[in-house]
Amino acid sequence: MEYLIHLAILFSIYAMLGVGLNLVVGYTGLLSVTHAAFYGIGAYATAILLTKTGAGFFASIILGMIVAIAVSFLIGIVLSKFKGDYYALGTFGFNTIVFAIFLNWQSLTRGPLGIPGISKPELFGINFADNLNFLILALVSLGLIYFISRFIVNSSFGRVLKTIREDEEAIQVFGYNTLYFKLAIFVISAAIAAVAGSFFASYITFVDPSSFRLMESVFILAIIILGGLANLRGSILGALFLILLPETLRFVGFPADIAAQMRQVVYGVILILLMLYRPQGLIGEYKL
Amino acid sequence: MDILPQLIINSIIAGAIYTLIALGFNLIYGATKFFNLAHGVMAAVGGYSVFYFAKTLGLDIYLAAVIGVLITGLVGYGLDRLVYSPLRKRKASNMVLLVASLGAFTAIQAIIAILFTSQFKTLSQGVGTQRIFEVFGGVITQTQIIIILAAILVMVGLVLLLYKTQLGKAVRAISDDEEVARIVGINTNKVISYTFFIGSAIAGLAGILVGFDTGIEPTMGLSLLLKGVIASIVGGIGNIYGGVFGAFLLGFVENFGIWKISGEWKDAIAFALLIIFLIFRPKGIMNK
Amino acid sequence: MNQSTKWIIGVVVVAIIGVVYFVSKGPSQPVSTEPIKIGFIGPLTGDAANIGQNVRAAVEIAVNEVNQAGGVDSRTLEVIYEDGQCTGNVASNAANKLINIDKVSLILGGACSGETSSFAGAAEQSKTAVLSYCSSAPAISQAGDYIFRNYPSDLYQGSFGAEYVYNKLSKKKIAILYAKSDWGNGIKNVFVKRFNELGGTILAEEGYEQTSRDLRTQLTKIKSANPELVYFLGYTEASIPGIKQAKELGLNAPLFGGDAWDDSKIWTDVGSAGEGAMYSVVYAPLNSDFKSKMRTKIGNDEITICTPQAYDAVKLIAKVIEKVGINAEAIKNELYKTSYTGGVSASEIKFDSNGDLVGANYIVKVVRNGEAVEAK
Repeated sequence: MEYLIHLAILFSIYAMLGVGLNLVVGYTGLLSVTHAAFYGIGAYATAILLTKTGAGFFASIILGMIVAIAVSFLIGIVLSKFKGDYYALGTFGFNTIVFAIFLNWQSLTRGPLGIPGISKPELFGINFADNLNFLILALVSLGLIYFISRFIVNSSFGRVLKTIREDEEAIQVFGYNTLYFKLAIFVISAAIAAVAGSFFASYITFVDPSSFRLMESVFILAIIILGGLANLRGSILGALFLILLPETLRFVGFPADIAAQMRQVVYGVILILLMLYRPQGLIGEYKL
Repeated sequence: MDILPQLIINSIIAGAIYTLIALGFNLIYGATKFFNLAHGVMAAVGGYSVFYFAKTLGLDIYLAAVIGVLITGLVGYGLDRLVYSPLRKRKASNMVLLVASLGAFTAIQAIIAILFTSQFKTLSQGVGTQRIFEVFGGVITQTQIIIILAAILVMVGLVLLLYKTQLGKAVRAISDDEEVARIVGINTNKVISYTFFIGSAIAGLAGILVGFDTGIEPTMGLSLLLKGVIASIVGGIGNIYGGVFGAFLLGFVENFGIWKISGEWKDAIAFALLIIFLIFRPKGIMNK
Repeated sequence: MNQSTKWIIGVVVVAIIGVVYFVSKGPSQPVSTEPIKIGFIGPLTGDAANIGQNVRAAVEIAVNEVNQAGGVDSRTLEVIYEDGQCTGNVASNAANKLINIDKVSLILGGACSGETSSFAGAAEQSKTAVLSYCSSAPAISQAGDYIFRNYPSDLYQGSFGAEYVYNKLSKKKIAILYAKSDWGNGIKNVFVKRFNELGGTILAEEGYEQTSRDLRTQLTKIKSANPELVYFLGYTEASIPGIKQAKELGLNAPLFGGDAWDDSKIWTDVGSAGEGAMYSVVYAPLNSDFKSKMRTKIGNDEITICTPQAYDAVKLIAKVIEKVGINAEAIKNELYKTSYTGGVSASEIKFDSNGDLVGANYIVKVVRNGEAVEAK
């Protein structure tokens, strides 16, 4: 049972990440592979705030979102000059740079040593060290993010995003400032990732740069491609699938070390198979 | 400033390694117009093949190296036949190919880790160090000289291939315009598969040489790939000479950059260079 | 939703139910005749794998002996082994599993300071006792009430190293090459302080990522500073290429390392490049009985650092649990009062108010012909 709760918490975190990224990749058509950077910003914000000051978890979420918004704004502006696969390459670059900052700004992040001993949230005296309570909090957060995202995509703002994805020039003719829209959704997506990062930090109690490398961004991308681009429920489904799948491997009896690598093999092969046979993912509405 | 000669030598060595990666990457990009991210893991395939044949099976080291290069070429060829060709047949977009290549990269890297463990290994024979030479106040090892020679030879070989052989002519034709090449009667799929073979083989060679110089580990591919990508774009994507120029430029910028800045910023510096170029001169220094 | 979508969702749901079923068949509630489980975290793979595997062998021997002698309170002692990979990230996840899912009262580990540092906080918060048999970073002294170690803090090793290099070896101008990790940073800081106090000069201080295998940039900079000696703090996997690269670059200053160098894998691999290298290491009395048990178990004579400490730790824990039961708080309180003698790692094991081992005895080893022997 404890183990299930553990899995469920991981699922919630990745579902949040997936939903956020889908807004950018699935709905707006921007192949962003730098999501882990914002995930990390949120995690570090929580880690630093909770260990160095007396600030609470929820304050750290706000801080994480603010920093992520600022950073993503800058990155987004630079990225707006790129198209298609150059855009993806640019995001690789930013993920690497942000990772290097986590690693080298040691006075702030302690670099490779990481930040241990992060405490759990405190709210109305509820004991969040009990994982079940933490899970409920995470699910609530996921729910909020899901509904906000749904609201965005179903609104006229969302329709503009989808049009940008299909034919950016066409909508520019009508006078829409597509840069504004792309930047806005990129920033929103980054803020959501930061929230997920805060939960991650508090749950694992230890953050270090290695959780936020390029490969992590690829993994989040795999979740939403699997689940289905431009379908929020798909992202949740994708997260469920990709979190549970390695667990079934565990029961097939691979030793722990090999299991981690098998997981990677599975992710890689799933991506290939998806691209070959079902680019829209499980329940997606958009093919890359 | 007696560190200067060594810095220059280090830069040249780095440039030579990046050249090998960039040559293969550029060759493939020229023919297929997409960023084959699986290119990076080919270096690991090469390195580990040699490890297996030379260290585990005990074959003569040169024979093992040749086998390693051939195996890597075959893996690249196989990847094209199984994954990229079918995707190209149905006119998949560049992003789909990129994601598929990402999947291949992840899966192959993990398979190598399963087969050989993630432990760092060296390819050098015997124990102890190798012959070193003093050059203008700096020091260079035998392996490093071989690396530089290899880079030069491969570049010359590739240029000869492209401009003096039928196959090369076909490759150039496809790079210019695939449709037209097909109309003219070139079997584009076959030729493209050959470029994958050659390009991957070169990457395998790079991995083998790095294995002798420093060592191999399953994750070595990503860093090499990213440097190769940066070198190619900075130098001029699709352009053989551009790739070489970009590779050496990158080698110098990295090594001189970290002279004053701490070594861990190496990757970040490389990517900053990439982004600057993507913004101001996406076609690179030497356009076609 | 069309038909195929419904199928897909159906498959996923079935998969979930399958996992739930398997997971719920997990470990049943402990009963008073069930084995006593403690957790173990160590680098079974990765950077210090040679040490981790050697330690594990000793732990297995110790557990076996405890159980042969009737177990703990007539219950079998069982160890749940988790791989820490000498990395904070991995060790932290391992600890989370041991604490939250296996619900152990005590974790034996980690080995690398980076491992222990990463989960000490979580252990403290969840009131799980931790006894590290190998972590030496000075900061761990303040890690918490529940955190103990029967391996000395590097406050001693750093000072010892500085004094030995300055006084005994008479090297006054040196350079430092260190792995950026809890361990490397820890010793380095203490060393720098003491060396400066003694009047020495540190010409260059170059750090590298623990996962780095190419140290040529740092070595080039060190070489240009022309030091009389290089104080090189690295784990096995980086030290091997590092030592070779130093020689290749023509950096011929003598090398002096830390206790992590007490791993024969390094010296076999670097060959002649390691000739004359020295390092400080904790002195463990061992005894021929322990040596022959290890030899029987692993088939060779190697006993790396921390192996004697791990062996003693198991015996020590067994005694403590026998006395006060498996409640972590009781174990913790008892550990502060414990005095364990007759071990193979030290003549007496006692913990001070920080949970640190009292007393530390260092020696220096020098590498001759691929083997490390005590320097006279």
